[in-house]
Order: sequence, then C-alpha cells, then structure tokens
Amino acid sequence: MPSPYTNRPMFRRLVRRLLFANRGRLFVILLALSAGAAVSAALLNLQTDAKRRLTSEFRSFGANILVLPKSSDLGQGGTLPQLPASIFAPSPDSTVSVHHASLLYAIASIAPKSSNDFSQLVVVGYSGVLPGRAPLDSLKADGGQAVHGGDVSQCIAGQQVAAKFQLRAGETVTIRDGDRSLRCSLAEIWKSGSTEDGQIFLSLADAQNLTNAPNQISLVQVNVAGTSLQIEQFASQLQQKLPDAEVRPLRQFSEAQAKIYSRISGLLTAATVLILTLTTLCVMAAMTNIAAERRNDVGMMKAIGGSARRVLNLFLTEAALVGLAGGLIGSAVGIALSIALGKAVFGVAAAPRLIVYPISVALTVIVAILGAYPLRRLASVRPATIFRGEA
Amino acid sequence: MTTQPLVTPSASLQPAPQAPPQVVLENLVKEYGSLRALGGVSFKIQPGEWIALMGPSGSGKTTLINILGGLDTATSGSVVVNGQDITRLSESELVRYRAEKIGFVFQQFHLVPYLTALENVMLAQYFHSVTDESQAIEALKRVGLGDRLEHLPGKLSGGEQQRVAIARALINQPKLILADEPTGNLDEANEDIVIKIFRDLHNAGHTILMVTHDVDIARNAGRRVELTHGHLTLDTTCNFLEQPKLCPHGKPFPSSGCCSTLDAKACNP
Repeated sequence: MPSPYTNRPMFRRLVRRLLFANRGRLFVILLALSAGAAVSAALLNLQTDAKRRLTSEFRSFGANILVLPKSSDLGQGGTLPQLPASIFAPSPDSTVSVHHASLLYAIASIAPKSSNDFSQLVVVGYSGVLPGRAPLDSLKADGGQAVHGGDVSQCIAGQQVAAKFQLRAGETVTIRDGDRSLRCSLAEIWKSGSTEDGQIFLSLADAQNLTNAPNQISLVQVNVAGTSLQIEQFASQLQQKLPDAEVRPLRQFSEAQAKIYSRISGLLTAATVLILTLTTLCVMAAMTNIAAERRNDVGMMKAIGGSARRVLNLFLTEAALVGLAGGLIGSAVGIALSIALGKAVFGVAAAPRLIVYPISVALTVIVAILGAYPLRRLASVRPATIFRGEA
Repeated sequence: MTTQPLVTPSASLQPAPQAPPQVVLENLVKEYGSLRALGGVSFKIQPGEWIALMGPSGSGKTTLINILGGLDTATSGSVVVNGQDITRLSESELVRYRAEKIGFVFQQFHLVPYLTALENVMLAQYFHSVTDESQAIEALKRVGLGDRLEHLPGKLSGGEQQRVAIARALINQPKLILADEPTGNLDEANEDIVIKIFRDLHNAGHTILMVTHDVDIARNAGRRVELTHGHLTLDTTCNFLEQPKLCPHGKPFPSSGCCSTLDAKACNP
C-alpha cells in the first residue's frame, strides 16, 4: 500500500488544484462559511459575555444582600452601629466585586422654602456607592453645621416628593425632626421607579445629626457582582464577621438573574445552531453541484487505482481548508460584530472573548465538512457506471 | 435475443502455446437485470499479445473490458489474470489490482480537467505508490509531450490528451493495457500517432486488449476477437499488417476474418 507520508507533497498539490479549480464557486462557499462564522461568532461572544453583562445589568437594580439589625433588636431602636468599609472587602482569592451603602431611615417633616406647612415623609441618610444609584453617590454633607442653620447641605428628592411639594432642583427645603432641623439645597430630582421616589435623601452624616443618632445606621445594602453561588458564599462569610447583625441575601434577585441568563443563553444557542444549520445547507447546495461535476473525475480516479477513502480524503481536506479559511475570516468579523451588537443590546460593547475564536473556527470547519456530504456520496460511484454514461 | 457462438476458442490459435496464458476468461456472464450483456464468453490471452476486440455496438465489448479491468463485476464465470481470479477479489483488492496491473486508455480520455498533463500522469503514480516527477516527465516525453507538461487538458488537442492518457496508463508499468476505442475521438493524423505508440508498446512486450470498430486499426493487432450479442463469434490470429487489402480473387478482404479463417469460401461466397 502507498504510504500517505511519502505522498504528502502530491497530496498537497492535488488539494491546491482542487481548491482553485473553480475560483468563483470557491468564493461563494467561502462567503457562505464566512457569513455563518461571523454571525455564530458574534452570538457566541454575546452568549459568553451575557453572564457578565447580565450581572452588570442586574447590578443597577441595587443590593442583593441586606445587613440588618437582629430581628430581636428591631423593637429596641432598630439600628446598628455604622460598619467599617473593610468588613465588605471580598477575600483576596475571590473574583467578585462588592459595593455597599449604609442607610439610616427616619420619619421627618419637610416644608418647601416659602412655606411653613410641614408634611411627614421618609428621610434617608445615605453613604456609599451602589451601582445604579449614581445621583446618591455624590451627596454632600455639611458636617453638621446645617442642623444649626447652615445652608451648605445637599439633598435629593424622589420624583413623587418633588411633585407633591412642587420642588425643583436648586430650591431649598427645610427638614425637621422634633426640635432639630436642617436646610438643604435640592441637588437633583431622582426618578428611581420604586418606593424611593417617595423619599428624600440626605448624606448619612446629615441624617445622623438630624435624628440625633450618631454613628447609627438602619441597614447596609450590599451588591455582590457574581453568580448566585458567589452571592450566597459572600453572605455566609459576612454573617460570620457580623454575628450581631442579620445578613440576608435577596434570593429573588439571584434567581431572576439565573432565569434571565438561562433564557438569553438558550436563545443565543438556538440562534447559533440555526445559523450553522443554514450555513451547512448553503454549503451543501454548492457542494451538490461540485459533486455532480466531479462524478467523472472520481470514476476515473477509481479506475486508475484510487480507493474511495483516498479520493474522499482529497475532497474532505479541500472542504476543511475552505471551512478553516471561512472560519478564520468570519469569526474575526463576528467578534467585531458582537462588540457593536453588545452595544445595541446592552448599551455597552461586549468584551471580545478569545475562547470564542477557536470555537467558532472549529464549528465552521465542522460545518464545511458536514456540508461536503454530497461529496462523500461520490464514494459509491462505480467507474463502469460513469463510463457507460448511466450516472 | 442471443445467438450461439460461431467460433469456439482454440488453444491452437495462441501464438505462444508453451507460455502460460496471462488472462483466462471462463464462461463469463454479465447480466443487467433481464439484459444479458455477456453470455458465457471464454478465451485466453497470452503475454505480449495485441488483441483487437471487435463487434457491433451493444455486443458486450466494453462490458468485457470493464470486467477484465476490475471496474465491473461478473454475474458468473471466472477471470484469471496472472493466476489470480479477479471475480473473487474484494473491493479493496480490486483497487490495488487496477492500480498495479491494469493500464486504462479510454475513448473520452478522462483526464482531470484542473490538473496539468504532468499531474494527470502523476495522479496514477499517487494512487499506485510514490510519485516520481522525473519519471512522469519521461513518460510524457516518450509520447511526444515533453513541451506540454504544464498544460491543462483544455489547452491540449484531442490527440495530445489521448497521449497524456496513454502516458498515465503506462506510468505504473501495468501488465495489461485495456484500451476502449482509443482513437475513436481522434482525427487521422492523431490516430496514426496514437497507433504508433501502441505498436511500440506491443513491440516492447506489453499485452494490449483494444476495443475498436475500425478494421484498419484492428489490422495492427495480432489477433482479433469478435463479439456479437454477448457471444464470442470470432477468435482468430493473423498479422494484419501483412494481409492483402484484396483476396486472391480480387474480392474485398472480409472484415470478419483473416488468416486461419480466411479461406476460399470467405473470399468467394
């Protein structure tokens, strides 16, 4: 039997000839494979990025862990001591990122600048940084002077509060709790779409001064950017650090995250499979024509001593090489496409994932080989039948 | 409709009776459904013989050559080539048989259109064993195509294409050359060139079985085998080159016989 190794130069020569036997047809197949690779690479990149992206999107919903006073302490003031930021630092081996904000809730009275008509509402002291709450991050405190008549504090009114009291940004409001009061300038009217629209926000220091609750907070909202499991693990570690507080993961958020990720992932997978299937069918259509053109060639090759396996090896190598070229070109285009798609879907460009590239190229090669099925059928060609002109 | 064979093979017709036959066909039958293409053909081929296989269209010539070349299978009977019954070979064994023992030359040339003349010859080497470009170049030079090595078949004349096909058939030094109307698509000039190549091959000791309708071409062969409706109707040896164009009595030389079968009755019906 001939050695496949000593014949490699001829094998390469034959494959090269096959590839360029019809450049127009090669271009069409390459185009189909590149287009398929581009779309599937874009979808795969989005899918890979979706987890991180969704986590990032959900972060805008706020906390997924609450640190509260123990239930037994709620009746006794309902506050806990302000916690140092180091408590919330993730362990060095952890990949999650953690944000937190300390809040102090109180019922106070508010009157617009030109009025002495006070109405009660929820006042929230806020300190920290949480995703999606950018307006609150920059609340400026007056260091306690406002309580005594200063006017340098800032506050943010929820949209409902602003509507009820006809407040506009830049106006001054007076907030009173018992005999203590504070004047603050409305930095912004905030529309959160939640109960926070009916609240007014101060810096935590101002709220503590107003309510005479120095160094006290009602709760800490913690946001852990990670999977459900990572959130649970972080909550558990936090609970160990804070035995006198209640650490409560907000499971419904984690589960919603998982469910939406699962749906989006499934949708992207289905779309990828659909695209690859359509690409396979396109390649198969082109290959059917090639197979018809090559029946005589295959018959002749078999007549002069070519085995079906060796003849098909030539054709399948040709198909795999076209697939490789289509994959390399299309996948690169696709990943670039996913950056634009990511921006359109999530508002932020998808990060290119290197692992997607080889996977997409490999899938395109597989598609090309599967698409070459009509060529594989040439294995059954009988030279005598071809030469008789019966097939 | 089938007819009884008019002539039965005769060992006395063989040119070298002492040598073991290279090919022995025994009661070869080939049926395509209800159609019987070969109805029990038997004859032998001695090494170095040039046989013209003749007969009207549909008589089974191509079927016989295909079976002998391992391209088709017999319904029954045996085909022994160099002591090996090829009707018992597996598909993979037939592939090796075709690569190593048979050289095919077809009427339609059957060159791969996207390979050069040189690569078409090397293709046969590739399927046989190891390619040797210098050997392939030499083969093409021998058929007068040393200056057409890199030409694609589409850029060659019919005669040149057939010479490439002959070079391809010879490159692996086959024991048996099977030619199915090799000059059927050629003009007279190219026909002469190709026939001269076959004559040289024959003189060099190659065994040739050539299907042809052309009596003039058949005259080059040392033996004529004729099929009619799948049956052997003539098997005769002679040196066609030395045959007169006319019979002794001035009648045209009969197309159906020569030498041993040529007698006064044939010339004077």
